Amino acid sequence: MDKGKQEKTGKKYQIIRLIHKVDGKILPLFLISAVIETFLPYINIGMPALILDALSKKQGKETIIFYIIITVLLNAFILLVTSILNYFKGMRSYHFSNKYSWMKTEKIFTMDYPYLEDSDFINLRQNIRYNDEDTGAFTGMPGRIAGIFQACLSIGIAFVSFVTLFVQIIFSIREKEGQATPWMFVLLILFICFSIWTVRKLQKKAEKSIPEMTEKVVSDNRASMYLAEEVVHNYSLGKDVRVYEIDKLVIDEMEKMDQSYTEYCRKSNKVTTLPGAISSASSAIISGIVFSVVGIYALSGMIGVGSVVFTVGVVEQFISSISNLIFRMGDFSISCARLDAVLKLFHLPKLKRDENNVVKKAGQYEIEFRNVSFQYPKTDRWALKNVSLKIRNGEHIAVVGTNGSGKTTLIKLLCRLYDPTEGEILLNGVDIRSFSEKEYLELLSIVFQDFKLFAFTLGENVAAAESYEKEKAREALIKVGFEDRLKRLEKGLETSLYRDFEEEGVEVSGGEAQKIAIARALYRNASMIILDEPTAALDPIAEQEIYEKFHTLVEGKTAVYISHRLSSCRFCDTILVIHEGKLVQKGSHDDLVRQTEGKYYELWNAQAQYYMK
Amino acid sequence: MSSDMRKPSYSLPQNLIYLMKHMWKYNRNIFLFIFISVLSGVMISVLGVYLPKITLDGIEQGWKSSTLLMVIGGISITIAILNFVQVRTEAEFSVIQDINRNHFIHEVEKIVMSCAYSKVEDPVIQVKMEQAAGIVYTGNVRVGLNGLAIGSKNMLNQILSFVVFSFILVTLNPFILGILIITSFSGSVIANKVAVYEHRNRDKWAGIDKKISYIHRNLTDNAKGKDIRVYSCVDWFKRVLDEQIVERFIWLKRVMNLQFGKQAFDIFMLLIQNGLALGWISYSVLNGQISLGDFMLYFGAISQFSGYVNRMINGLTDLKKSSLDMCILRDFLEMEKETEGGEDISLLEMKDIPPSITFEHVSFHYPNQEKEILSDINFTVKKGEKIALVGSNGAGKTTLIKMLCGFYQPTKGRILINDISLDKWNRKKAYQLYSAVFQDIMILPFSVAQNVAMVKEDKIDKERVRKCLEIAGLKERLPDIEEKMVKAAYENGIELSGGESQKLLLARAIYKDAPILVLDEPTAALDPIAESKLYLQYNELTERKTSIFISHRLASTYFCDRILFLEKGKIAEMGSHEELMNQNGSYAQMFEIQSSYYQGGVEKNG
Repeated sequence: MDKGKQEKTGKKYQIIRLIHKVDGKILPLFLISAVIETFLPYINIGMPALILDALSKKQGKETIIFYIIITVLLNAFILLVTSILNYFKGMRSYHFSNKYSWMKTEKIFTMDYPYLEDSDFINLRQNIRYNDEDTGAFTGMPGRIAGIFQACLSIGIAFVSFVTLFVQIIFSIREKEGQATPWMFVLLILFICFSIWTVRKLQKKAEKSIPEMTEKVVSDNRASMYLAEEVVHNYSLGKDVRVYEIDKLVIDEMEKMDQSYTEYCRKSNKVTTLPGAISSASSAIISGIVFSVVGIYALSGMIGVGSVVFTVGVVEQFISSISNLIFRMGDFSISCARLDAVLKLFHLPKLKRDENNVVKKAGQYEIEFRNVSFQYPKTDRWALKNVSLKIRNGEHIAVVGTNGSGKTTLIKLLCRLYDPTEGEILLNGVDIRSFSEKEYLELLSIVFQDFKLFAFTLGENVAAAESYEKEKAREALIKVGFEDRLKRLEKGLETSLYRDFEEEGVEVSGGEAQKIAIARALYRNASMIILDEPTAALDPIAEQEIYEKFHTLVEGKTAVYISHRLSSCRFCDTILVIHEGKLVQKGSHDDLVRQTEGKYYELWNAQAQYYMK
Repeated sequence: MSSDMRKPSYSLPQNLIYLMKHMWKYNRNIFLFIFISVLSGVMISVLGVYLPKITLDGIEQGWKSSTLLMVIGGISITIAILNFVQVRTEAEFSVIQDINRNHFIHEVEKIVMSCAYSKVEDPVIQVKMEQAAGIVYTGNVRVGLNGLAIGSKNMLNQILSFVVFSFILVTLNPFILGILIITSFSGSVIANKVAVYEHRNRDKWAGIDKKISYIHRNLTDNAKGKDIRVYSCVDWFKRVLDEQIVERFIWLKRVMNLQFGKQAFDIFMLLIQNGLALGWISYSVLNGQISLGDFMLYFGAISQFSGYVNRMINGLTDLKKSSLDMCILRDFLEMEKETEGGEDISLLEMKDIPPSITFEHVSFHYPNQEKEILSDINFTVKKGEKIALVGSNGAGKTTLIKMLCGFYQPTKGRILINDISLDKWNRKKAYQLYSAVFQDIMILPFSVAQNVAMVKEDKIDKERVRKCLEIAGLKERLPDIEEKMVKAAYENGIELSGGESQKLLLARAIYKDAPILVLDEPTAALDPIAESKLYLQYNELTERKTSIFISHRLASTYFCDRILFLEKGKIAEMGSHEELMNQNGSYAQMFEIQSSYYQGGVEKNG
């Protein structure tokens, strides 16, 4: 129990430190604002009390007018200052929120790639979205903390005023005898304590159950959220949705989710609103008791009318500040609990070694796989087993094999997206893990099978950067056969792709996108170029263009080419045949096609037979 | 595009009535909760200002202690109960409101999924879809559907309180009440101007927000993560992000400046109000017109009064905004679904299966464009024929397929299935005709079996599912058809590779067993062996079906009866493989190019 409490306090400090890290000035600003706001209610308690006393004692008009002017001016002044501070708070909050978003994105982005495909990490990110982003758990923190501070300050002021009055009354009691006794005050204090205790208890219960339920709700509803985002509102799936008439199926599933979510809301509400409801009710009772107590004292003539109003006002402030404080502390706790996932995120370690040996600009690069075996995290199956091969400088290599044989895995290892489970990958004899990822990647140009282009301009996409050499980009596009299309684009390289950013963005077809992706790899001009199914979406003519120019395209570079279209093997020096994670054959096309028992022959024949007439 | 230039399709009262009808239909309790919540809220405020008055009056009039105690006790307990009730009814109201909102969410989703496909590809309509989605999904209580429902409930509260407190204040001095009302409402003119400004420009910064979230999403997305990493795109993205943030900030500042101006004006008005009110009340007490207790009553009432007026004014502007949102939503919900109109397809079931397909002088261009994608397409596919659709990218193949499936209607000419024009059919029922494998991969977070059968669990023919998976070559990969798919939805959800997914799509098409089979690049991601298997099965797969097959791999044409060669939107050549090879036209040329690599003795270039 102790450890749990320690952990929780620890987390709260972590969060405050995080706030400070994001913006060191925001908390002070909010706190100052809170101080000023605290005084406003007291002005509207104290001044009327003074005025009432002046009226009941029939003091002069001038005094009363004076009090009125002070009340009005003070009110206006504090409201004005509050307004100004809110202005600055608003601006600062904007920057705060953006910086925080970036910190999270940056962290996720710099995580090692295997995390991105790991289901626990995916869960964590969903959790963050649900618990933090959708609720403003973190971005509302400065406000919450300032609120707590304000409540405490208010309690302090109220308490001091209350005690002063209490002392005054005790002295009055000593002087006169009366029906009123201190007992009523004691009763009052007891009742206050009791209601605070009940509310706190209920709040603790709420604290505990919210993250639990949310976790469960998230996992129950993940399927439906996926449906909403990736199926219903993914317009490119519209054809399949209609042809297979799945609209009813999808809606049914989502309605089931609604029911479970409503259940959750009802339960959650019962737990979270009960403390609030009880707190509300008990402050009304307490108010009543205060009225009674000071009323009776006033009836006995122990205190004046103004003091009645003042006392009641102060006690009401006191009560509401306590109840405020309890609520805000609970809210703060709940929000802190919601940030568990974010704190976890920031503490995730890097998996890979990332030393900083700069890759020596050797000009000649040789890659070697030495007994490399690989299992995807949390799976038993060996995606690659004992693969040894060398890719020499300037070699053109084709990698072929059936689906799921391990070809793309090979590429992922080559790009250092994953590290081998066993064995090593060497660059010029040095384990690639000893290079910094950035330096190593500069040696590679890659077109993935599921490449992505971005909603920026064509030129930027080709260069993968904001500023680029126009001629170079144009050349790259011409090399891949994009010239005609480029000429037809009004804005040329400045044309925006897709419509996420610019309404006039152009939608490019699959084939066009593939050409742009290849151009991107060419622009980069790295020593090794890797192409994974680069012509899958191209028609035979466009495909031929790529083949014909292949040697011009890759020039003196080392090239690795994965394709199901074995025709591409004809212009590669060496072919690697992968089957069930193992390297089963290696050689030139002419060599391999003669090995009629081999896998290559089987693959080649399966395709070629239809072209032989 | 600002929508306030046109007159809104429905007024605020109309939208409110619409909403209320909806609430009445689905969950009448909500009215009870609203009534209780509003009533208790007003009563709490009123009792709250009377309590001090009664206490002071009691003191001034010298009541007995016990009397005072009882009266105060009675009022306080009443307030306490009302407080409790109010908090709980509020909570219940929220839950029911969410349930109501879910109904609307599903209505929107139904339309997105069952409106005409041509609408889905239309960028203008896509914007409407996103707008409608935003309006129903939002949890914000000041905009959208929530804004209308919750806003009007709050408004009821404010109006009722305003009326009650006006009554109280009128007994003090109607003139003062008049000043209070004028000073409070003058703020509304300013508030309105600010709100209009915000509304007019909302689209602009909504656009910026969209871009900002695009960048965050891309950087954290695992599919795009690979490219971003290996091409070191972060700095680039960060710079664009920073630019957007700055631009957004400019708008934020503008709005905040306006709001500050409004607040300053309000404070000034408050100054006048407070001064006058306090002055008059004090004067009245001095003149013996009202008691000290009344002083507290009127002081309390005045303090709260301007609050109600302000909230009423702000509330009204929010309601107007929400009402406009509601108009957008309602217009959207009226979009025609494909379930409506046309004739029932069961007529077809009585005729020939598989059907013949005829394109009669079909031309087509997209709605907002002039350029014709297809020009005067004329051909007939006989019943049971297997057609290969071939041509360069951009020739119009995919468009032709879309029209065949009924996703688009020809701008000229018509498409006949078994001599009946396609546009006569009820769209939705017509989809029963087709089994299709398109280029996009749709996998649902359901079991394998459900992903193949695409029907409810209890209607799945499990043996058939297994058979289809076997034919598609997935028997070993997916041994347990009850397992759930999609890793993003289930921790152990099955994720298939590109090629495996394509096989699943094929299994799905086989399972449906519809009379027209459409395959758009079904082997693009398959290895040579799987591809060959598919070709060998092709006869079996297309038995008793009319089928169309798009592929860049011209080997596939071997298995088709005829080939349609499209060039720049027209049919350039049509005939069997032998016929076209003999013609020595574009098709023959394309075939030669592709097969050249597979012939022996072809040398490496360069």
